[in-house]
Amino acid sequence: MLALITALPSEARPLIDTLRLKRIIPESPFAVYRGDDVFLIVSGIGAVASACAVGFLRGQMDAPAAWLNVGIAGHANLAVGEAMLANKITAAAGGRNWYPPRVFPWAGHDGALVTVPQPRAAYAAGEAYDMEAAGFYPAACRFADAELVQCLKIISDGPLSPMSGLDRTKVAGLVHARMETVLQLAGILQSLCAERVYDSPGGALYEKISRQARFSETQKQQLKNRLRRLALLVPRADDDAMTALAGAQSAAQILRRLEARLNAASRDLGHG
Amino acid sequence: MVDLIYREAALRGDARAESVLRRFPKASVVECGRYGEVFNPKAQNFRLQKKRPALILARKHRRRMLPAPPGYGIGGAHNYYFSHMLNCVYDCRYCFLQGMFRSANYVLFVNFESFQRDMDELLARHAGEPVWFFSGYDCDSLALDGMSGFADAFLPFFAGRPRAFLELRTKSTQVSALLRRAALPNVVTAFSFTPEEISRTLERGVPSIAKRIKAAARLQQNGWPVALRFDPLMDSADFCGQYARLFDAVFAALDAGALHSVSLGAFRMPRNFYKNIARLYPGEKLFARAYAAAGGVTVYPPQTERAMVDFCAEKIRRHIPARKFFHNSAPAHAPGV
Ligand code: SF4
Repeated sequence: MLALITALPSEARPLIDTLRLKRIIPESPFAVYRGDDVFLIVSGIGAVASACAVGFLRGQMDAPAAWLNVGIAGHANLAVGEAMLANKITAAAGGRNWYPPRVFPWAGHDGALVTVPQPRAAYAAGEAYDMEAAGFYPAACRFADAELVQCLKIISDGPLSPMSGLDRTKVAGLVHARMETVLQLAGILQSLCAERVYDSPGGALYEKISRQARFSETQKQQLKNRLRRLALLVPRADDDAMTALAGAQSAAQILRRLEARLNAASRDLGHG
Repeated sequence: MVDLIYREAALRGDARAESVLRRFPKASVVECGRYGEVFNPKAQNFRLQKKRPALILARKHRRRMLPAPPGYGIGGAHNYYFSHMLNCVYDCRYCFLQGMFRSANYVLFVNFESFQRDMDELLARHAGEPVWFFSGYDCDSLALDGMSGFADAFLPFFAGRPRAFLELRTKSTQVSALLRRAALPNVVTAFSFTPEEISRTLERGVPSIAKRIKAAARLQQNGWPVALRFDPLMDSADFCGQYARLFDAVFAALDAGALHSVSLGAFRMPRNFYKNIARLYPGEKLFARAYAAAGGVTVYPPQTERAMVDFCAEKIRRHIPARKFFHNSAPAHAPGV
């Protein structure tokens, strides 16, 4: 699952069109769109709005996601239209830093991104400026591993191209022109996210056994865990488990039998 | 190998940091405050980071030399351990670092001189007595030596301090910095081994046993003290066969009489680290089997452990005298390094 977040509708539009997203939840504080395995939310401008949008969107999703903030930014050196992946995010207000870990190859530009509370016309060398990342990033890290949370900025203004020249069409055009980069990064994050879902859902055997007795929530986890381990240790674990559980009545008894079976299977694996 | 490097801002202009940076001209360099800003945040996933670790260049400000836990050591009275790096280029599934750190990024502490100052202070505190310094506690001592320059910086230091003993613990074959110099009797290179079958399944990226034996033999032939570490001992259905073959191979290639020491220790890990790692790798057979608990440490059931240790100890003692043999039981030690 991928969660895209933009500040402006004009940043979102090329993504909505390319990914064929449909608007969902008509009456909501944020415009939310959905496609196959992708959500998109338009947060509005500013770090607080961005953080709120992350929380709102997480509430709409039923599976863990990778999070990608796509938007425009100013930069002193990079040319307008270039894409830059943030490797450091600084909140200009407060000075706090975050460092999005990058666990994939990246041939494009990367650099420091400073989130400012107001648009600014002064650009320090080597830094990009936006108004959302310092809200988006820590909020999204509450719901996902930091490796799955990234900010991709398209350079929209700089010392020679002032912000005043920007309008909706130009913003949408800038994002559209970098769509390939956005989709490439989105794909990488989605596959990392799919890998990250390490917990097995339990499977048919779990469903069957969990209906045989009354399991507390903790016991359900223990059952799932023991069945998963047994499947790793013995061939034909389903038959093995059913044999081990023959006649077991209560949840506690089932769990004890499975534990005993795991102990025996472990002994068979090793030195004795 | 590294395409993202974080450098503490205070290291701008630091000669050692700069020389490391020069080795990676294409890497992006990101300035940070203290390394913990990058290394410690909670939301990180060690397993994902292990795919492509970044390098963090930092200074170690405190707790550089730590007393080794009881049950650790090879006969010396004063034992300290230290880590000039955190994390490892290899990926051993049983390695406790995965459970201890949130980040798989490599941290290189470049203020080697501060470590050496601390060593001198400890030598002064234990005047007239030998003092052991164990490196490779939170990393492999030599695996990234080409990049870190650790051996080149520390060998001259130990050359001038015969009372100070250094153990370099490694699964690597990176011994060229030692071979370039005259052997030092107080620098022991300890090679860690598990049987080939275990190494192939559980030690990703580690050089083959044959290559490591060759590196150890070359050191021995050049007069360097070499030690062997069969730690952790890993259980398997063919435990006796696998370890017997390993001992045969190692002792056939090395001069057993010249070995500095041989130690072993069964797989063991602080319980909270074990839990963290088992969560990271739910599909790993190693963490599916049943273990026992002993004082906050996850261990093999006692009878299994005893059988493993007894078998190996008996085999090893055929090759070396008892005074050179050590059973390591310290729980918090990086098991395989
Ligand atoms: S056990 Fe040693 S060699 Fe293996 S990953 Fe850990 S530190 Fe590296």
